[in-house]
Amino acid sequence: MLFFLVSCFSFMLLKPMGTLSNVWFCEEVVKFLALWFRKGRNAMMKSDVKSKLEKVVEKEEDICLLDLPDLTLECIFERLTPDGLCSMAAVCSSLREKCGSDHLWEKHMKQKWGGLIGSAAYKEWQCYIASRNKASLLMNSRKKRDFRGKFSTIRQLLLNRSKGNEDDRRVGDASAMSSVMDWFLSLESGKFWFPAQVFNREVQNGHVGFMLSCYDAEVSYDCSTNTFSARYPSYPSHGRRIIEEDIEWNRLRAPTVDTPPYVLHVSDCLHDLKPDDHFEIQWRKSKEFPYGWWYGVVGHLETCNGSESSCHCHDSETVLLEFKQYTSGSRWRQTVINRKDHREVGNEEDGFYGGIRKLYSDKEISLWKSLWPSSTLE
Amino acid sequence: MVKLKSNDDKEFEVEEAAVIQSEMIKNMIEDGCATSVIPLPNIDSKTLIKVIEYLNKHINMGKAAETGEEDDLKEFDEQFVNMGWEELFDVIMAANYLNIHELMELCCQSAADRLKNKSVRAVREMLKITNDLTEEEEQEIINDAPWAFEGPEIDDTVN
Repeated sequence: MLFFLVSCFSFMLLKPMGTLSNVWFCEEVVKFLALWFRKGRNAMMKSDVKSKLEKVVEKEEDICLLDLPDLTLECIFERLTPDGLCSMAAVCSSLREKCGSDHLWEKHMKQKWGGLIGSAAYKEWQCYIASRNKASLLMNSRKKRDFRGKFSTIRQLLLNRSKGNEDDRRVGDASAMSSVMDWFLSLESGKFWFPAQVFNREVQNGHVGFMLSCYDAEVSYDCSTNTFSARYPSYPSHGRRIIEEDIEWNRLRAPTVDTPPYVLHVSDCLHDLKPDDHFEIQWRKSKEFPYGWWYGVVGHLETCNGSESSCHCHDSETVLLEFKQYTSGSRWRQTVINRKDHREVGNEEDGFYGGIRKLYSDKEISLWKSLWPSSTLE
Repeated sequence: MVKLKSNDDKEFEVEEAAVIQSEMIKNMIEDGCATSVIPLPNIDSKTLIKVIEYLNKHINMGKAAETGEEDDLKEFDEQFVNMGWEELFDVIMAANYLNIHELMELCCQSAADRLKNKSVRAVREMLKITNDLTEEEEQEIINDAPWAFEGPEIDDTVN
């Protein structure tokens, strides 16, 4: 820079200085150079003094939590409970940002909610966020108009356009606008109702009619009691929603298949069903009701004596399904389906038996067994 | 023996078996870069003495399990982290720099334990942090998780 200016200056000196404008220009250049040198020297002096001062300050000032490198801070914060993280987030803006990081909350999310949150609940969350953002965007734009008038609205529009319509894009994409912390807290606070399935529904309301079944519901958590409330879909003939409260964790699960409650599940295990296999089957009382999943075990056909060596039940076209929570005389105790073309069988009296899922995992089977009623049902 | 030099020019001799708990120094020794004194420009002598105390005690971690000295080691660890916040942060920074995994874990756990159930006010005071959130911003965080800010377990003391 200096070299350039000096060479410029000398070049101009060499040039004939006939015109006024040239003289004026030279004066300006000289002034500028003088100023530049003075400034430079000042700046040099300042920085010298400053660095000395900083050294003194550094020695005197003790290290603070916020001085720790980010990774080290994370190492501390990942040992805090969700409550601890929330509390730290309210300390100052820097900690608000650090304690809100997805990385820290993913662990808590997985630990507490991983088992219950399925893809359906995640989809519901995305919709929830999108509608919440739309509402807040509308409110914000209204506010902005009120405060700043028309001019700023236009400026805002231009700004948005230059940003590539970021706001609009974000409305569509929940993950861009919401954090894992946000999701965790919405679940904890019970503000967010999400789809899940409830075992032995309405047992808390005094019903035994749903023993060893699992029904779709919208559920919401209550952190003060560590239980859930469930809203079951309303029946067309009843018209009112049924609510059950005080549901414990072990009575809930994430939907195991993507089939919605009013849709017949396509069975893919019919040829694989043999005696003593555990299964779940869709059942509904009538065609206007949603399906629930009912637990049962494949039994031996009447023509079979049940001995392992002579049993040919797995070759038969029909499969006997048993629901052993009912007494042997009960009309709910067993039903027979056709292995080849089973879709839905039944009538308005006994209800309709729909799609079947064979249970392969011991975990699922033992969960059903843990819900077994204390006495057999009629 | 390996010689370490703190940033205030004090030298310390440490057994190699102890000092290689530091990944950083272990790598230096393996690469043949630790022939004379190893300068540690980020660590002052006060902190380095603490770190060496830890390294010497933990020299035979594996053996401790065999000889039933685990309880002794546990007691040492508990006593070791019984220090002020500033000192703790200094040791954390040193453990981070020297890459001593176990020491880092121990100190970070201690920091987390100290913060557990503390009120927001207590944390600010303990760690000398100035609140730069507006009242609305702070309230917003509280509204999102009110249960984290109330209850008998919330501790407002600063020890």
